[in-house]
Amino acid sequence: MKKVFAKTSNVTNFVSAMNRLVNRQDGIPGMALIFGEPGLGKTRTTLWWAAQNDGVFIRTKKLMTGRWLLEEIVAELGEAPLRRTSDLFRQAVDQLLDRPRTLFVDEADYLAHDARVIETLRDLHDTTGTPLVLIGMDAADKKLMRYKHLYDRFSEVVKFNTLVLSDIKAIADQMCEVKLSEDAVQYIHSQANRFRRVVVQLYKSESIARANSLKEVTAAHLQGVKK
Amino acid sequence: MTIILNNRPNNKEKVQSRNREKIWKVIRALMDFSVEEVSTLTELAYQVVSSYVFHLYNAGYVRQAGKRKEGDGRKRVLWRIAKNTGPKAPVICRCLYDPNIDSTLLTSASEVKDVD
Repeated sequence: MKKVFAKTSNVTNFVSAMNRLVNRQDGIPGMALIFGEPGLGKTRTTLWWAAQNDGVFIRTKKLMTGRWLLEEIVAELGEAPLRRTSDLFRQAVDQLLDRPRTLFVDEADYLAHDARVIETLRDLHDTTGTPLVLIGMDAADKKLMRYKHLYDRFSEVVKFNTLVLSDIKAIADQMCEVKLSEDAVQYIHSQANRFRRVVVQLYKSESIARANSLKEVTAAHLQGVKK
Repeated sequence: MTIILNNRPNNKEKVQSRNREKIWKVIRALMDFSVEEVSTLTELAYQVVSSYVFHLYNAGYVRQAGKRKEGDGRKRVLWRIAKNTGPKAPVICRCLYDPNIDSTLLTSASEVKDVD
C-alpha cells in the first residue's frame, strides 16, 4: 500500500476551487463554503491543503462569541492577543495585510445562529481581502443562506459527496500496489462507500495477491475470502 | 584563510523549519493522530515525522493515547497532543543545562537535529 493522499473527485473539486479562490480577479469576493456529511474527509482535505500552502486553520467552538473568535484568530496568526475587541480586530487585520494567508474556519455552522459572529468574519474578509473558507456540516449552506450579504460573498461552494465508482478506481490506482479488475472495483463499491472501509478492502486484495502471487485481483477473489 | 561569518539559516535549516511548521500544524488540528496519518497529510517521509514526534514526546508535548487498528490489521500507536502551546512549532536543539541556576542555555554549537 502506498502512503499517499488519494485524490478523489471531492479533493480535485476542492483543489480547483481553492486555486480559483487564491488567483481570483479583482472584484470577485474571496469566500468559500465547503460542506458535506461527516466522515467524508472535509477536515482532512483542508488540513492537507493548509499544510502545503501555509493556511491558517481555526476550529470553532459552540460557545464562541465574536471576541473569542477574534482572539483565536489573532493567536493563530502568531500574535499575543490584546484585551479590547477593537484592538483584536485591528491586530487580525494588520497580520493578514502584512502576510496574507488563507483562513479556514472549521465547524462554521456552530456560528450560524449568531449573526454578530458570522458577520465579523465577513468584515474581516472585506477589510483584508484574504480568502476565507468556511467548513460546515450537511445543512450548512441552508443555515448560512439566511445571511444574504454573507452568502453573496461565497464565490465557491463545494459539496463533498460519498464516494462513487470512479473515486474508488482512483483510490485503488493511487494507493494499491496490485491491479484490480473492473468487477473487483465494483464489488468494493457495493461493500464500502467510506474511505476507511475502502482502504480495508484494498489491504485485503493486496494480501490475497501476495499470498497467491496474482497479477490482478478480481471480484471472485475478494468474495472467496469472505466465506 | 578568511572565514565569512554567516548567521543566516542555510537551505537545509529552512527546509527543516518548514517541515516542523507543517507537522506541528497538522498535529494541533488533529488532536489524535498516528504518525502515518500525519505523514500522508503533510506529504513528508515517515522518518521525518516520527523523529519529530519522538522529540515532542520526550519533551512532554505529546503523549500516547492507546492504539488503533488500521486497515491491514496491525495496530498503530495513537498520539495525542498534551501541550498545545501555540501556532509556532517547537524547535529541537542541543543545549546546556545548568542545575545551579536551573535553566537551559543554548551552547554556541547548538544545532538543529535530524528533522529534514
